[in-house]
Amino acid sequence: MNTQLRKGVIEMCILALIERQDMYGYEIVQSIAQHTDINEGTVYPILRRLTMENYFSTYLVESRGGPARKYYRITPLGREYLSRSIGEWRQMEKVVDIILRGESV
Amino acid sequence: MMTKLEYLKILEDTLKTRLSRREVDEIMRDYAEYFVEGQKQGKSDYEIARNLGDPQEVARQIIGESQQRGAAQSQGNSFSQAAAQAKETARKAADKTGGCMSFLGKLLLLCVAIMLLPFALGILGAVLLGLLGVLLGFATAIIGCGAGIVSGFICLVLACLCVGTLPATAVGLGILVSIGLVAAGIFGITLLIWLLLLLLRGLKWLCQWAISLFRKPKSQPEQNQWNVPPSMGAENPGNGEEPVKEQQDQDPWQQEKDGEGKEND
Repeated sequence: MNTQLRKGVIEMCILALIERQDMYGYEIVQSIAQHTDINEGTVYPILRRLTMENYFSTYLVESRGGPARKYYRITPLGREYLSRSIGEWRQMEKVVDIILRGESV
Repeated sequence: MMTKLEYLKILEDTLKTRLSRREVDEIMRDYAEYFVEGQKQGKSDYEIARNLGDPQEVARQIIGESQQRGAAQSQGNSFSQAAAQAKETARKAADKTGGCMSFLGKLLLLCVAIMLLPFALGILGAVLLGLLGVLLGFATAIIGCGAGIVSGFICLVLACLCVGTLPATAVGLGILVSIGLVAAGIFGITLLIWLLLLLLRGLKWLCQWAISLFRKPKSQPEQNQWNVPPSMGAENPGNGEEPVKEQQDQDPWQQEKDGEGKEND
């Protein structure tokens, strides 16, 4: 699959997962990687960018036998961005489906 | 095959070339956490490192994403940027309308001025003549007052010379009249000076008002230029300087509560 498209989809999945509940890095990466053939290494850079864009806020929670876990929480800005992304995704899905079935748009 | 330390070292060295110390430290902290979480799940360092992929490639992706963010912001294709652009367009349109209106206003003013030119010249002439008359009047009044003062003095001197030769009542009357004349003259002159000052002040105010009347339409578009929408760019604070909002207190539950109020909006 095209890298840009793949990135966009991962982005939307990360936002959708964290919208449901606050999650820490490893949890997020595993949730996405276990269902897809996506490289674990590609998830974290996207997660970091989304945080830099203020779609997530983060907080640390002490963890037994290891460093603190950094939890990610969606911000109102992130929620807004997610709903817009889903809208665009659905629109694209519809159009692609029509084209693939050979009907006229 | 790579150990955790080797993996993190390569990652750090690659990141260091493009990102700030603070950013690199933060990313290293996150990846160290990632390795520990994997170990807790019973995975070996080698396995975790393999699943993450080539550390140089991961570092390149992180750097790439940081740059993509910067590019997206400067290109302005995010929603907030689009909104800001729409506002900007609206502002420009408003400016244009303002410009048109002020242009029309100027045209109208010019037409009126041309049509009123003969009348205006007449009025100007009348006003100038009036002013000349007023000045002449003032001059004569001042001269009159001066004459009054001088004649009063002369009368006073004459009255004093006549003491003894004429009846005392006549002399006294003469002195009183001459003193009255001098006083009236002085009073008249002060009154005239006061009136003149008042007139000059009135003229000055009139001139300023007329000037401000002509200046006003010019200054309005300038004010519009500063009427930039205040929300432009305000929806995306922290341009890379403070990428992550974190609470690093000791008590995790306190942090969570704090965090609730600290969401960025």
